[in-house]
Amino acid sequence: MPNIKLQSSDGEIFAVDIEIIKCSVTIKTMLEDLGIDEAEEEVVPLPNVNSAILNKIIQWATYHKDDLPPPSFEDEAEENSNDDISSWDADFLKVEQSTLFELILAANYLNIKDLLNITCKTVANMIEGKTTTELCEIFNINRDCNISEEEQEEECIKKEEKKSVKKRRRRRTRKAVEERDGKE
Amino acid sequence: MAGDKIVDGSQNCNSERISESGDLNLNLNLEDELVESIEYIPCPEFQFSATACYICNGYYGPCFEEPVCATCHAFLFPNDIDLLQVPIFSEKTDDEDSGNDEPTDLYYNHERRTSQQQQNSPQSVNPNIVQHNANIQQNAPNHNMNVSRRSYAQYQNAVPQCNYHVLQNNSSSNSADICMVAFTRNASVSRDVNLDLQSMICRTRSGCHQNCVNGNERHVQDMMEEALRCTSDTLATSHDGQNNEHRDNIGPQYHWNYRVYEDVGEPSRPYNLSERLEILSNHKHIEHEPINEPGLVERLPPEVLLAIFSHLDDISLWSAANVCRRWCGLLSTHVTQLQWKQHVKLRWPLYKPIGCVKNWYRVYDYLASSAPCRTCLAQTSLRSRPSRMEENSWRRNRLRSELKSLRIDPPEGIEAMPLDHMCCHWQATITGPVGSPYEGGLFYLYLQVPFSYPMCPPVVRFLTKILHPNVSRHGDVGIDSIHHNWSLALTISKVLISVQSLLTDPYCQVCMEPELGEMYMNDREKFEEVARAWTWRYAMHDVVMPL
Repeated sequence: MPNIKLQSSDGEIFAVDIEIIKCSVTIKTMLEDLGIDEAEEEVVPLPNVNSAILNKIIQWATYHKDDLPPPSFEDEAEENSNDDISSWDADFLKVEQSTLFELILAANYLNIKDLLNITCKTVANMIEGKTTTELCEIFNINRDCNISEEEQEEECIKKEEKKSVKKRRRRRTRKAVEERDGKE
Repeated sequence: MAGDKIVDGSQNCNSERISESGDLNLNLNLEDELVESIEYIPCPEFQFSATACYICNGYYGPCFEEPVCATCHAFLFPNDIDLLQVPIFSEKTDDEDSGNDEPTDLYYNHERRTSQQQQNSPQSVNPNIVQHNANIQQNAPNHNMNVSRRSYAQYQNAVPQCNYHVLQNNSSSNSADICMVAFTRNASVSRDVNLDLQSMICRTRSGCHQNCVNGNERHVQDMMEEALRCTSDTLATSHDGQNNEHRDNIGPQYHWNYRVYEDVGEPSRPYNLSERLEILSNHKHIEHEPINEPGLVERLPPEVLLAIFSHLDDISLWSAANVCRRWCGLLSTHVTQLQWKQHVKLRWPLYKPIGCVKNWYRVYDYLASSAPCRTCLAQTSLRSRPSRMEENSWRRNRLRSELKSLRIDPPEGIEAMPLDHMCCHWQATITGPVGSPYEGGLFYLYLQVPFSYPMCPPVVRFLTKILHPNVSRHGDVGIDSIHHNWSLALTISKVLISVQSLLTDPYCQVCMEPELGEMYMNDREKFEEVARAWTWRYAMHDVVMPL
């Protein structure tokens, strides 16, 4: 089997079996476009993936190289379920959260559908059943700033409403004045 | 918010009257002042003093703005209806008594009554348990096994690969055998602990009343902690050895079960107790470890986020939508109104809007944020699970006639409907009685009718925040008729009527929330003001709708 050389963002070069890495649609189409023979000696740079993550991805792809593509009719049914991550994958994804998110980004970049799917499911499992504050804490999202922005917005809206109410009242009173003046 | 509107309206009238009568310059100034002063009308605020879980006081970790932390919730309010009807109490003989419990008179009475009920009504004992007992008898001919076996089955659920599904499988020979094997190993250690744990649950439930009023909460709490700690130790020690074995054996069945659930599209379940204990006892668990790099989540492209969101159920979606504006924006554009409408109908089947609804997400948001407990809300629609219990005819006939009378002649201001065909889960609404501070509000309730109904009382819980001395901040109702004074003559509609009348006349000698009871007794005016404000804020979903 011919190998392909992949270069991670930090300069490390990985030699990977082409059949294994073909799970990545990005690399597959690239190879198809370029022609496999030509790519043999070339190093493919992957500027968005660092070596640790690339290593992980190759590990995953090697394990799953013999997987059959899932029958298409099952796809829809499995879409909504979060429990169908195989035990190997679950162990594989027992990593720090930052690694998990890096994996998602890399899987998205390399367009590896299955890996993206299971990583997304893992994150969904993390979200599932959590309260908003818990989510903010887990994902290190600064909620306060967002809320204060929202509040500011609301305040703005309130102020505008208040102004318009005032205006309307003034208009109404002015009308009343005019009417009264007219009568007089 | 809503109160302001009213004030606003009345002042409008006033000002119009004034403007008709005369001095317009004065009137203009006056009006401006009024408008300014509207902003500063103090809305009576009340917050419960503790920010941590009010049961364990934060012992089991943070509760994230919920009244009860996840562990206490799993412990006190299990989502598994099957667990509710285990005959927790039974006659003890000397040799079985672990010596750990010190039954007070109250507990003893309850215990005796329950066991009498069991004796008097053999049909209320579920057949499965009898069968289990028979299976187990060869190894350990004593009733404690029954209890700990169940706990064991619960513990089995903690194996992450076979979440929730094992319980159903218990009747099949395969897993039953595994249980038996594991059981004989485990039995000597966990028997006493588990028994204590179970009886503790019941005590805590039945004893809620007295403990609250006597300031005795610490007592229950301590007992609970002890029991939990013991169990978690036991589980932790016994876990390692058996884990792998189970996983291997149960794997194929789990897949089969899993397909079944997939077809019905079941929403997510909250963790059960054993899973929580697993999390607590596992130091390597990284659930709450925040990401160090800020902005990593923000870097996820929208299509990936949407892929993640597509795996979530409605409540998690709602929580996610409140996290940040980006998520909110994504969700509001990609989850359609129709979907939110369906979610509303799923969670609040009794919701009837007045007028047409423009934004169903707002409705959902309003309803969901008025619920006192998110986990309970998630539990309400867990009804698709096929039951392994055989319903006895008594229960069925009784519920059928109750349903009929509810349909033909519903009590005033009360609506109730079952959520599943076994009538285990009900939703009900109560309108606030006229003359009480709850007037005008519509309060949602959740009822859980155990399989041993009508021998055992239903569980009644508010699904709408309400300020009332006899309703805990978690929504649990404290009336004697559904705790220790339950009688066969009581029906679901009678229970609801008594809850309704409780709204008019709180019973302050025994309170779920002593703080509120004190306020009710000493400062009635303030209490009514706050209760009215809460009603406006949380219970007016059908009338006051933010656009």
